[in-house]
Amino acid sequence: MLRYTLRRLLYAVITIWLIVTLTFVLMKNLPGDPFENSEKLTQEQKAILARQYGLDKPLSEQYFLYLGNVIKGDLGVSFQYPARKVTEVIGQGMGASMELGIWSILLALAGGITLGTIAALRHNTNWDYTAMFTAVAGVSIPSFVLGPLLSYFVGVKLKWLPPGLWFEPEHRILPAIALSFGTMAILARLMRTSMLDVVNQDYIKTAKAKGLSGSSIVLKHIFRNALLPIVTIIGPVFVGVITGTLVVEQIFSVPGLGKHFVQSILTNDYTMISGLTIFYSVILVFVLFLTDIAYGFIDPRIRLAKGKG
Amino acid sequence: MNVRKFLATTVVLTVIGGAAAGCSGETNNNAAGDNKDAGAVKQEVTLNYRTEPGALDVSKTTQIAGFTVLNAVGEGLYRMNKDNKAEPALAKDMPKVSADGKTYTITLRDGVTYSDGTPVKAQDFVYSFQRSVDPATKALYSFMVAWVKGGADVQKAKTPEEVEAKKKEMGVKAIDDKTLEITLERPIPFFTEQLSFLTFFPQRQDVVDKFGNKNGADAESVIGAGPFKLEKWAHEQQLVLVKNDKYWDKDNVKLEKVTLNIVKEESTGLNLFQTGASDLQVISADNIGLWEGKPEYVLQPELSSWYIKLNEKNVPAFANKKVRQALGMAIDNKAYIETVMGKGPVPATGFVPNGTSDGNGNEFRKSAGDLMPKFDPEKAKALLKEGLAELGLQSLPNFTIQVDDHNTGPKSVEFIVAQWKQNLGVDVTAQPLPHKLRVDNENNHKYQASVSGWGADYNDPMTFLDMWITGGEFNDVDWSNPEYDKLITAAQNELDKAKRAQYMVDAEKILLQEMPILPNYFRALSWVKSTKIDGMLFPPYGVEFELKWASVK
Repeated sequence: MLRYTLRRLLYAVITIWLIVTLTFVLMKNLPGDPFENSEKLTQEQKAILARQYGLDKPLSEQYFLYLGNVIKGDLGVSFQYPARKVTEVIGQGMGASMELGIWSILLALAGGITLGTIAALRHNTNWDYTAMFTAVAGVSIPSFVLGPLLSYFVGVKLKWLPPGLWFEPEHRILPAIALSFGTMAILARLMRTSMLDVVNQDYIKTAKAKGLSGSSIVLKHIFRNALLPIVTIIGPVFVGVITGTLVVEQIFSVPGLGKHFVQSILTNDYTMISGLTIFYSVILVFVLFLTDIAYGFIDPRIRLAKGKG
Repeated sequence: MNVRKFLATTVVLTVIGGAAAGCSGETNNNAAGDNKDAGAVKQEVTLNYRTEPGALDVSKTTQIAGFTVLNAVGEGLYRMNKDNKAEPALAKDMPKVSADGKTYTITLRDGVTYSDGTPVKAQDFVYSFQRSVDPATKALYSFMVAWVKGGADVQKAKTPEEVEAKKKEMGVKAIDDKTLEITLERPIPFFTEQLSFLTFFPQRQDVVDKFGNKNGADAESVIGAGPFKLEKWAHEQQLVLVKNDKYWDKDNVKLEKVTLNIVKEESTGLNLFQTGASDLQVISADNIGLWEGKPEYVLQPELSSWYIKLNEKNVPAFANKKVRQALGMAIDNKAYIETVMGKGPVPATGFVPNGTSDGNGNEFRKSAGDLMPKFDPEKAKALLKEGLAELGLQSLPNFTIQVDDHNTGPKSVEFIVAQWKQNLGVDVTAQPLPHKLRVDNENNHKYQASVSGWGADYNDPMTFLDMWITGGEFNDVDWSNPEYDKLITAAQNELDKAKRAQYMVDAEKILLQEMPILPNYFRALSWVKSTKIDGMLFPPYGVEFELKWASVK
């Protein structure tokens, strides 16, 4: 187990190093320069700034400086917000992004599992068709369409909920719905397929033959076993949701990290771009690493197979 | 087994979730709902603010978002009033200017203090100016302070010792606690107005020393002597300003509280405005049509000129004046604005935009008149033919025009290309690019034609006109005209304001006859503002809005 864990850890570190390096290379190839009002800066001023931010040093030197700083957890100072460190900006935005991500994943889980279960148990009935129609709609309607629709109709026309901002609990509802809809649809379809698979297994027939009650079969056998594929994908889905909040955050004015991504790219804020990329990669790699370890811990077959490979 | 697997993943998620929840503590404060309860007139407003300000630091702020907040929290020697004229603010009265126009002697008002009660001293201005030009501060707007004698020498100094030595030689002195003497490199007729701009605000060394690199990063480090105090700054979310009771003119400040919610998406902002959760929102393009004519609609002209650049080195045909004139005359600027921007901007009548002072008490545009050749496809066609004949060409070689790939950029270039095709039979390739790349190409003279814009750094025609002198830093069209250069140099050295203004008018005439650039429109911002707000000003440059005299009706 230790060897397996160390090996996983090594892979994780290599992955992060590759991402850090790639980000550096890509960033250096971005056209333009990172200073706002650059159209108004003279060449002399630009040279001064480049010198101050170390952009005039040889690339290799810049790379090692950057790598050293990343290891120390110093992602530099944002070019756009000169008084704030990138880690601070990320720290401040992470709370809202994570919170929105968690709300929406909970919503997606509750909705998806319910819809999928209903659809499977009422297979080929109107219940099934309605649930699956909702699921198809969920996959088809992107959040950048659903978000403004919710904001306008629920917020302005019906006045049920605030159309934007992020202060009170009620401010969380619309963005969480907008963000969860797609994931909910995927989970519903997965749950339905998975349940239908289980229903046709021999052990369910056995259970029925043994005369177990319907609800007992559903709860103890079908539901629990059908949940497995959902559990398997929930880690990556979670990361997907918290990193995929960009559009929804923008629409509902959520003070999260998403907007920094777009803005930092538009303004060539090198330190911010690389900082965010590294931050997200580390989260993803970390979640995958923990999931791997958890699997290895739970199921020795996985550990052995990977260990030998 | 299944349950264990489920639990394992749940634990992973809980750990991450817990960490996230720990990070989100600070942001849960309400403000949006505060002014919902009508009835008694509360002097409180909630405004949608379209961007998070950068550092709220007098030396380091470069964005208009930061200027606007600092102008509410801080104050300079003068403040621009509703007529866009400078009036005494921290200064007791208008400056005493020496005969050569270079030395300004200014006395501070009695008893002016910062929001924490510390007195404002002349030394704070000296410190502020010196800090801005110090290369270690990395102040992008330091070029303005470098107008002060010796300022540029500090900027160029290489070692910290040299910087300190040069600072002592700089033309800004505190004669005593209340008297400031500023000596300029050369006379600047609009310098008094300029002293109202945030780069010339006082700064406290004790505050800057205390917060260091974090100065201006959070509410606690933003201390000014203006009408409001920055009470709260939840990054990316909200800024709350409250009335500064220590302000010298507090009796004329009516608003008790101003909440600025950061709302970047215009449609969301409008939704909030419509539900009454906000009292102000900037609007663009299609939304202008929906609001224009209603009492909420506010049009704010900007000192911003938009035009097409033609690079003469990269397209030799552009060196021919008639070709350039033809390209300019073939674009219907009125139709351009209506088609692309909906409403808001006005067709250019020259290069210097409406609202720009001429430095002699008049508006430049009125002194110079309408210099823009009228839209005339027939005449344009004839001119192109003549120009091509002079060049010995049958047709204009195909060229590429670059444009920003966002906002109105793509539509703009589509319109321009169609006009040239339709009115001149000229084929042009459109090249939409990210803003930074478009500007980078211009800076490096690596383009053929470009849809470009320039906003005033100060309210004087020179901010627009000195760009086009031969070899000028921003003359990326590679146009050169000795007569034009002569007029600009003459204006730069002229002490007589009337003569100076005339030189600039004459220079602009040459520019519009020669057309190295093809002016299209002067930009304007459109807002919707709650009708309950009175006295809020929307100046044409410098800040987005002025809150000092605003109140709730």
